Amino acid sequence: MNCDRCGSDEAVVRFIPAWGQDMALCDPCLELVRSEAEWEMWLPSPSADFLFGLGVPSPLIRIAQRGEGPVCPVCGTNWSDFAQAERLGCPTCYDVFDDHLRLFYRFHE
Amino acid sequence: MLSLAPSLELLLRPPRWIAANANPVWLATRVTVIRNLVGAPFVPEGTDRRRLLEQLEVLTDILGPGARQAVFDDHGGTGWWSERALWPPVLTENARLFLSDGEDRWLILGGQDHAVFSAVETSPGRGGLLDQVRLFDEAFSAVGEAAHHDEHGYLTSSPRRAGAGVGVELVLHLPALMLTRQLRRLLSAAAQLGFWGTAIGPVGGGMVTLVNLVALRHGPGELLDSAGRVGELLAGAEESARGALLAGRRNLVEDGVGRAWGILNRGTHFEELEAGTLCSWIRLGRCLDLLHRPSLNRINAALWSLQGDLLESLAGWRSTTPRQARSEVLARLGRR
Repeated sequence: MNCDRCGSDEAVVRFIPAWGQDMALCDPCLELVRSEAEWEMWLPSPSADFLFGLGVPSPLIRIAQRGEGPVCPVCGTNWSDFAQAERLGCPTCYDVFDDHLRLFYRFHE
Repeated sequence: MLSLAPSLELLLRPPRWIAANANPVWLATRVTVIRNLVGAPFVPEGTDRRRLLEQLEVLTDILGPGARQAVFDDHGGTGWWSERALWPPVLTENARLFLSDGEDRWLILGGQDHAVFSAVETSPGRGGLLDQVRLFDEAFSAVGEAAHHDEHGYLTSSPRRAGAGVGVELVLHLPALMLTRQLRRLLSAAAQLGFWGTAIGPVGGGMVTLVNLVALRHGPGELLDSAGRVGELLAGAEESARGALLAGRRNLVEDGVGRAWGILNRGTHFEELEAGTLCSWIRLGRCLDLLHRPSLNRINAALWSLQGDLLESLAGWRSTTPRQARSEVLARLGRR
């Protein structure tokens, strides 16, 4: 997968803004996107739920899967399922997708 | 299949946390606690949800004897709402159970997570909400062991909430920051502090929610403290912007407030976004003493009534929501 910013073939993250065009990013570009100026591109989202928002914001990033990737042996969730809905299926998913989740948290922390 | 419609009056009645709120900027702080039972999938697809709900029944006690409930069938898209607690509910295999104390606490059982509890306060304070988190955790521990991971903390279907298993959300009214074009920059700063800000769709004119991006390696108290700092930062900036507007561009503000007042009094058809923006102007005018009525409580109630998402999420009332919300706005503001 090619990075949409620098063109390298090492893109690891698919960044999906609240609105607008999504983009694939490599590791160095991911760091750049985290800069304050870049954040402004994706603000604000057009919708939120006053009562039933449940504390989960609009999707910011979804992490792309290179190849098939792991599948949870307990609930059958694969990484593209997560990329679609940003939901894991069971506690075992946290162990199965550990590497991917590290990237997810690295972006947001 | 159940198909009774929820009570519109119940849904449109603003709860205490917003109707009794006179804070010029800070409308609400909400904490959401998410817990799952160990050894069971999060998503109840293909699981015996009815048995899961029966197991979680004891949690409903924390809302008190007057809790109201709604049951929704995910597959059938139908549901019903009762103003009084009726236990046991009539549950289908795909049922989700919503319960409310009618004011500021919600419990959702059998959704994407086994149990989700929300409590709202009108003020920036953290103590009461932290007590609610503890109350829920104690109740949940009486049901069973919560799914927990050494590294990821409490496990939730969304990894954003894993760790503390908590979401903290603020609702702020920031019209002056929007008018002075500072809102994006400040929301960007909030994102750097771990809180994601979004404009509330149906209510235009500077209504903003902020929510923590992740909850990993944070405790509930820490998240509430962080939310307080972010909220105070934005509220302080809003107050400054209001002062600057009044000092330097008073005519612009008076014009906006006056137009909103006239349109709301004379208009007969409003879209939700337009009505929300007009109410926001009225609220700004009231906070700046450019208007002496209606009260902030009344304006908050009107803003609450514009929450079309609320009705849609409950019962798929997409086609009827705008009309109902409009009539509510006209009834509450137009008559004044």
